[in-house]
Amino acid sequence: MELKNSIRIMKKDWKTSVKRKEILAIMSVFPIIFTVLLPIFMLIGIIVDPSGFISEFGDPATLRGLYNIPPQYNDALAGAIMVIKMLVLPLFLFIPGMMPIIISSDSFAGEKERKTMESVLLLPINKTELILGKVLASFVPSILISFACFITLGIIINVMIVPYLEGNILFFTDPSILLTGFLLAPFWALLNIQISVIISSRAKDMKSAQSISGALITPVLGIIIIQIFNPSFINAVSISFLTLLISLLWLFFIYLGNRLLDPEKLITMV
Amino acid sequence: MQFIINELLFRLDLINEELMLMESVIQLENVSKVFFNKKWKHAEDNREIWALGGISLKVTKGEIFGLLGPNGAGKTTAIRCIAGVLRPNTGRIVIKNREVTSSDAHQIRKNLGFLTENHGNYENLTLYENLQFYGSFFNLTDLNNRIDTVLEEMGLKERKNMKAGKLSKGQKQRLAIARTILHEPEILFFDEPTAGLDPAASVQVRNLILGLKSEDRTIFINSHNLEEVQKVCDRVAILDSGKIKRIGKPSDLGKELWETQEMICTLKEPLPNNLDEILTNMNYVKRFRIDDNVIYFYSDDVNEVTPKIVKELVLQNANILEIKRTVHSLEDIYLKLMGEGKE
Repeated sequence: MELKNSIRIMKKDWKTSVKRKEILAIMSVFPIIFTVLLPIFMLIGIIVDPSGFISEFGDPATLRGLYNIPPQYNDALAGAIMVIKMLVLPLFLFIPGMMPIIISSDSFAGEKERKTMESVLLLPINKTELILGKVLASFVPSILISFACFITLGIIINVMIVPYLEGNILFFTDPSILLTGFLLAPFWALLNIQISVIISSRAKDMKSAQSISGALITPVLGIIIIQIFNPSFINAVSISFLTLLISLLWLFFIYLGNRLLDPEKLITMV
Repeated sequence: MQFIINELLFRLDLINEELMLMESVIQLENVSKVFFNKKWKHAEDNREIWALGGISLKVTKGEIFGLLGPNGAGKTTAIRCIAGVLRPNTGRIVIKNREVTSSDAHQIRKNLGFLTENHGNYENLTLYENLQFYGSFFNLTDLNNRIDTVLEEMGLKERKNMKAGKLSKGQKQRLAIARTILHEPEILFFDEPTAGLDPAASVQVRNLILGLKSEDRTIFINSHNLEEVQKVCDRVAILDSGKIKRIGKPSDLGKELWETQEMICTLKEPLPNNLDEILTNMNYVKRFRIDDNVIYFYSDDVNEVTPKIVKELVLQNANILEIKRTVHSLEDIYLKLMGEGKE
């Protein structure tokens, strides 16, 4: 296997994707919504009335215990950690979940739609190189954007509650948050890409591939619901376990993809 | 002594056959391809579609070989099997003494160039970007220079930085050809190279193919354009419903199909009264037909009998205006073969 060939496919896919206005629009709007607008909207209540905000959700002492909040943190910081773990972090997972789907849905379905599939299959590359190229084309840009969004998100949160920080730093010091951004997010993206590439290879066109792949994002909603009912769900151990589970699923879908993705079907199913 | 001579001749024949095999760069042996249509639910429906029904052929180095047939005959399937994109159900395919298998088909494709039926250009990339992408897979030493050369050859150099989607249909096809020849492959496959092109663009593409032949490349053309095949191909195979009906040089196919040859003799003046009797006495002519002042002669070998006929007619004071031998065009051959199929 030659990695160079996969990189060539990746570069070409990326070039064709960025020249498509709809993909470019979605890739710029999504990060703004989930990294800037939603967090600002959610944290405004804390800035206005920190004590009132935390009391709205229950007994402050119990909540501090449930969210594992250090005792030296004031109400504003405690409230911010609650909001981050309950909503901001699960919603952030939409970025590594949704962004790659937009590109990977186009991977094979787009080639079929544009009638370029056959000329790609006639290149001197094997199936594994082709699939890897398609996966990288979605993974590399979306994970770079995810990391950038994650860091931006942390900065925005810290800047918003700067009057209450008292020498503390939020977001970047919590292991469960860091694990979510730098470990869970990449594997979450890889799993979604792998499934979406398989869907794309079976779909007739990009739109149907995108609409089917869109369902992949529903587990994020599950995490939000679990987190609401079980505030202690997001911790370093559970995130590590979740990452392990996702990576195992990813490996299974790599195997499944290699079995299901048949170049013969890619040109005869058009 | 005689025995030794016979033995030597036999061995020479074997060597000759071996050399012929060595020379063939594309070889298909009993290749079949079946597709299954899962959408046909009824048991009485035949779900199997035999795109290729055991075809065998050989293409020698430097030859332009044409696969001729109507839409759905299996021409594209044949090319896809040769490329290793489709797996044949039976038979084997050998390219330059190397069998095409799904595991190393991609290695074999390094020496092949394919022009697909759909041009396969990326419309939102520029001409340069299109060629740069394809060329990058072939480890060319000076890709940029090569891109400039092929774009120049195709008359597209000025449009190098234009998006492929903005080109006309003929220009798109020329870009696809540029892509096909970019890595200077030894064997080229053209699937319907002039489909949808205007006559001027078609001529241009045909000349280009002939130009490639002069560079000693082997070319395999799929087409249903009889004129195109007749003009450029050294040998043709006529394919119908996945089976090869005839294979050979276009000029030889007619001889196999028509038992007798036809010679047409046009006279200037009305026919002499006793001509019918004279013609009947020409026992070297198999049969004849008179249509006003035109006489149609049929014989096993018109070249041999024509001087005798002319001599006899001159003796009878017939004023001969024109004599011509009917040469069966590829179109005649094709239509006859397709007609046989329907019968």
